Amino acid sequence: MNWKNYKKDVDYIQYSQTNQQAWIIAMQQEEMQRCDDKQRKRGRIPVYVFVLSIVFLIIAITNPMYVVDSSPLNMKMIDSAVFHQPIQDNLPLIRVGLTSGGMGFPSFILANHHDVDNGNPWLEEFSIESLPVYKNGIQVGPRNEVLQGGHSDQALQELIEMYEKRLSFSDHINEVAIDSNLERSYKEGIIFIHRNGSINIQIYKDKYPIKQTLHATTREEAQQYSLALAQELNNVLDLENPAPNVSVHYNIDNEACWNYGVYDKQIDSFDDMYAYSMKQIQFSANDNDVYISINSYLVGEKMGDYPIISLKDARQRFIEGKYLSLCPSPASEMDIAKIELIYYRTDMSAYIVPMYLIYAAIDPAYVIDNEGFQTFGTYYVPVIDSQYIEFEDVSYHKFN
Amino acid sequence: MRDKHEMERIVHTYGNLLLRYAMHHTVSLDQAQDIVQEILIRYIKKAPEFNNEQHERAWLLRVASNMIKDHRKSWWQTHTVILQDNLFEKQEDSYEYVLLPYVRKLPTKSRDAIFLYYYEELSIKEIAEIYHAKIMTVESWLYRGRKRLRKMLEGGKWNELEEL
Repeated sequence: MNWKNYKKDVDYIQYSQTNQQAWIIAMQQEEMQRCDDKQRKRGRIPVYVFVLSIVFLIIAITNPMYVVDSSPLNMKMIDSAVFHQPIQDNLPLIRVGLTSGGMGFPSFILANHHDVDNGNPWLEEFSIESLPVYKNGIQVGPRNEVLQGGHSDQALQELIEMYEKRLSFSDHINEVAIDSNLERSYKEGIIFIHRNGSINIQIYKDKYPIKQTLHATTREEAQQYSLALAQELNNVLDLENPAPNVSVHYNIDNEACWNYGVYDKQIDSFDDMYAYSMKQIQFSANDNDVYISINSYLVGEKMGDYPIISLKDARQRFIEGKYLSLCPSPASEMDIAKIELIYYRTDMSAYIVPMYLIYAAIDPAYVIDNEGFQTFGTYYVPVIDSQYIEFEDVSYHKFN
Repeated sequence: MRDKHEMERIVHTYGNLLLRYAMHHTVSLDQAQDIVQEILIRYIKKAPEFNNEQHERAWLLRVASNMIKDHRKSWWQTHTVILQDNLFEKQEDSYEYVLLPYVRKLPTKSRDAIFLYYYEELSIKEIAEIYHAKIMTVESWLYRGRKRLRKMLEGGKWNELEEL
């Protein structure tokens, strides 16, 4: 039977512009209803949040420098209602600055604007009036010396033993404390726990077979492989709902290389944004090893919920040159690939602060011409209102 | 929160698929459009995280299938008799449907299977996954559907269609 005629018949059925508008309006109304319902539910404080608040208050009273429960078994609960908290009086000033970890400036070589796409769930349309600022759970000096906070020795031990158990590694064959971090070597691999809350795991594939490979040629593949590897390693990572966080960079031969990763996606949009900012897991591999980096912020006490500026204001400030950056000035034609909202911190920062991160083309005078590619720099505009900010000088972390 | 771009993407990607699917089952174009709207609202309300577009499409088709089933059970459907299928009646300046009116007369499952197999070009396995059915079951839907179409279009009409 010739189905061409059937296909022609069905092809003729198409939705109209009127249909499209009506459907989108209906979806928008449903979405608003859904968000309103969530907000109503969020207004009620669950009992467990109340109980944990008492616990943290007790810890804060006994240890005023920071409120970090360094035991890995008691994770800090983040109240998802923070994004709509009323703004308190007498909010303390927040010191904001950037630090560089090494030589050169942080830049991205892009073939097109979509190359900066990643897994950040933040959207311009989110209705946000205020955002929390937290004290950094660790502060180090310019020579990596821990000034305050960070995991205690006991916490480092507990963490390394926890991952050892999850990985079912055999007894460790060596243990080294490096710059107050802790590393153990096993016949199956290495576990390195940073005092700042991050964990690096190296797995030897010949002793601990990993099925999933990381040889993606497209973004979709990179996302699929990241999720598959997260699934395969879920006994180690313990994620409830892994979502891909993938980006691309170009090597010296201008070949696309994928950065594989995941984060633990949350149902609530604001919790989701927060989860993305505070804990990301990255994967890489070569023929012999698989590397897992669990980049997790140690979050100190909350300084308050600060009013924020709009994206439109942030753009304007950027155009006026009111930004923080370790990069040369942007190109005068203002080519912006992307703006996203992230929480910024380094080990030297006093606070974990929300920033608009702007990827903009760098002034061509500062970059080598690379045919078909553009070099984009990163420029930060603090999200919180400038009346609450004290700017530090951009400083450089000593590289030695 | 889903933004307008996301909603536009969903309509652009799946709007025609859902409308065409609904048009195999409804008595009027308005009804089909309403059903699509309900499906899209359900998407906003309940859609889980999808692994890929195939997963998303399969979910939408399942919802569409269930919604049409419910719709058929509704008071309006059981208490309304359509005197004549005017849905594809030839009008001036409009397209003349050749085969679709006959496909609409097939049993529901055969209708769906034919739409998804011949038009959407899904594999039998994919169709089976959408309906949680066995592969052989889907094959029998297709076989019976084709057999009935042949019977409906016996003789000259069938040959005419072959030549077109």
